[in-house]
Amino acid sequence: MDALKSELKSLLVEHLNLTTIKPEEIGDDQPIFGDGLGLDSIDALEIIVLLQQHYGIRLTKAENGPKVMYSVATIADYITEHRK
Amino acid sequence: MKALVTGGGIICALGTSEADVLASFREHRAGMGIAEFLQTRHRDGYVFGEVPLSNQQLAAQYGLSPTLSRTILLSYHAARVAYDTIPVNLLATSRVGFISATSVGGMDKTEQFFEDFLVDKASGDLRQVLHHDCGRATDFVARELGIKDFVTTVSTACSSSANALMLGARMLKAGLLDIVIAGGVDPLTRFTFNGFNTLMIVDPEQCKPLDASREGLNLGEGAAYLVLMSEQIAQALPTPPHCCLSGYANTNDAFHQTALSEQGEGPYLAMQQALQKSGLQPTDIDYINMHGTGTRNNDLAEGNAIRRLFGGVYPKLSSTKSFTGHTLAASGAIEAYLSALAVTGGYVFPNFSFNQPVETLDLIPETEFYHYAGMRHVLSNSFGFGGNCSSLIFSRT
Amino acid sequence: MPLFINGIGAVSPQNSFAAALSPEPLVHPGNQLHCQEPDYTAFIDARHIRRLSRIVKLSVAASSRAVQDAAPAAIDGVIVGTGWGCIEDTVTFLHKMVENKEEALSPTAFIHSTHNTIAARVAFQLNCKGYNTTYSHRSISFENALLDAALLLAEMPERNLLVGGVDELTATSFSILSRFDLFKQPQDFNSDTLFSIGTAGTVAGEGSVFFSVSGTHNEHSYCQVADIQTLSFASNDDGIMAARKMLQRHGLATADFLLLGNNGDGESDQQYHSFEHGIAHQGQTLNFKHLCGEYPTASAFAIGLGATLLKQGASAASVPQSVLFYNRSPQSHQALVLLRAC
Repeated sequence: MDALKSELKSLLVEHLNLTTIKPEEIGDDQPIFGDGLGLDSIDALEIIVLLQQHYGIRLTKAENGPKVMYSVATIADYITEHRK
Repeated sequence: MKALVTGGGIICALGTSEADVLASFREHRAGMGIAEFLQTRHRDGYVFGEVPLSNQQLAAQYGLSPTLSRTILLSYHAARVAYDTIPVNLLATSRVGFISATSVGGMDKTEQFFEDFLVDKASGDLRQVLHHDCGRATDFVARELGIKDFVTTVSTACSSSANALMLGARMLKAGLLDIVIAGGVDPLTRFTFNGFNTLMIVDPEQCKPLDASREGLNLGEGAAYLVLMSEQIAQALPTPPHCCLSGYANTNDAFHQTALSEQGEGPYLAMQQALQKSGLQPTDIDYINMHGTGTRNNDLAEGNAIRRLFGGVYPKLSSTKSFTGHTLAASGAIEAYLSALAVTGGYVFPNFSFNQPVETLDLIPETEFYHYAGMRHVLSNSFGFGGNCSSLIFSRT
Repeated sequence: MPLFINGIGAVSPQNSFAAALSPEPLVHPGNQLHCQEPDYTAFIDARHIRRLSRIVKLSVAASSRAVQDAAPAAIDGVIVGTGWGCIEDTVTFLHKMVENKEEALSPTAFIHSTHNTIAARVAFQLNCKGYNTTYSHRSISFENALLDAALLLAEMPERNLLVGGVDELTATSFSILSRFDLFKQPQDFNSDTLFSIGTAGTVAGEGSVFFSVSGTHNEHSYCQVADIQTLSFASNDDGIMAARKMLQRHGLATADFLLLGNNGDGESDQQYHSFEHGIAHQGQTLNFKHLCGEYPTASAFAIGLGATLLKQGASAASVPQSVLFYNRSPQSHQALVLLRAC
């Protein structure tokens, strides 16, 4: 699980082009939207693409996004639960 | 000096003529269905507002080459019909301008080129790339029609052709032109369909603008142009003008690249300034042709702006995108055409369907197509990516 | 025409317009002239830079410089002209679309591919909710934007607007354009020999130039834009006649400076020589495409040069009063802009 979270953090930094932060600086439970990491609705869509490309998971309803994508930890849980 | 609307041309999923378009509304037939000509692997999973003619058929109507971009073919069709409403003797003595609009230009050809180019940079038919830039279709059509006094292309995403009409009116007012054919075009392309799909704002089924259960837009295509003339020039016409473009405004929401601020500040300012321009009050508006894409964001933001401006006392309103689909850069002009028809013919255009109003709002759209003799002023909204907000007001003359 | 240039900002293949006008402008080797780019964090919050494409960054920097230069009370509108639009993002999205066969595509590239992204971002940076539009009509995109500004300011002269001309040169666009045999061969060629080397073709360029304009001027203003005219599908003679009429309208026998858009391609440059001859130009002639390259909105660079010339010349021994700009494209558009000292 730790390896997955670590991998996710690197993917987020790379995929979202987060130039001002290093992967290891992202907290497992840190909220990634709003004030947390400062991501927005477009980033949410990018994360959906990321989940599909790297883990084969399709998040089809944008409304489910906020729950699943609250933090690196919640995303990792979702991946573990749903990956093929 | 008011810009008079004296003619126009339209082509969209509802048909290739004004008569076809009106018949579709009369018979409550939306133009959405499985795309016949758009080559996308998602074709069977979504409905599109596709013009019911292939490139070959469009080209054959006017003896044009079928290898031209669909953008040129659609644009030419609508512009030709508009141009033909102008008496030849007036054309000979007037300064005529052609102001078109598009968001993706000849992308239907570019995306074909890229299939080959990405495999090998030396491959790909260069003639396809020649169609790419926004000005290409405009120049082709202007040349074919013999228009050279002023030619340009506006590209502000979904508000493009509303801005083209606005520029036309302003150039007439400034005395730089006597007659302007203004409007816009966009074809269906894989590029735009996939792009909107990545934003998760496309409804795979018939869209439901202004409804609480709306799930997104349906992509459409088409073109429309209106003929605008100064009052002085229009005096020489054998028939009276249809109506006038009495007000217009362009503002920017400056909030987010693709989403409107929830309170719809940009839309509110655009509508308010258009009213100021026309010297009208909100109570003077008889019908609003809303931008109404059917996305959760637009319909709420636009609805909020309307509520603020009209203070809860609403004119008739609807989204004709429920019939035509969202025709992107062409939408401003297609809906301007319908708005001008609404004023001239007293037509009330309905939503295709409606169950529950947009959450937190009490906007109830028209659901029947009918005749309203008291139609004096119609407001048409067009909002786009990049926060570009434009509103036009058409009035009885 | 109440249209005054009160501030200029640019990111271009030159370090500044003053440097470009000096005896030693920047010389670029080969057939591509790329911009001298600043550190964008000076103009944009580092957290927001991540998503912005190069053409948007170029424009935010250039427009910020123009605002800084003019220091207007507020900016009431943004008008941009761009011939090619946001190529980088368009290509990125197309690339993925083809590669991934229309699956798992990134929204960021798509939303930034529309031509109006540039004007939108500039307005966002300034929180400007005023008039905002984008023209994309080949080699007259910038002139159309300038004309729109003139129309607006004729109605409300106290307003301040930002008008920009922007186009980018990417590896893909250069690769495709090269296949049309537009450019000189890169070897043994520097931009300062553009007009003397005598081979076919020109050099590719790019740039973002913004002007802070208003219907009123002050002691810091650069110049007045006295006239703008575009001709479409017209002959060379039509262009010459239009220029003569323009000069006549403004009581000028000749302009002090003629800014010509010849680009080093022998065949096309012949037309410019005919034009110069046809208007019986008696003043000095300046070329500019060896400084910025050939691209649809190179005219914005030229106007920046002309405006700087007039401002610099204000303290010179013989003070230039007028600059006539002329440009033409193979797609049959010609453009004339007359600048006057103010």
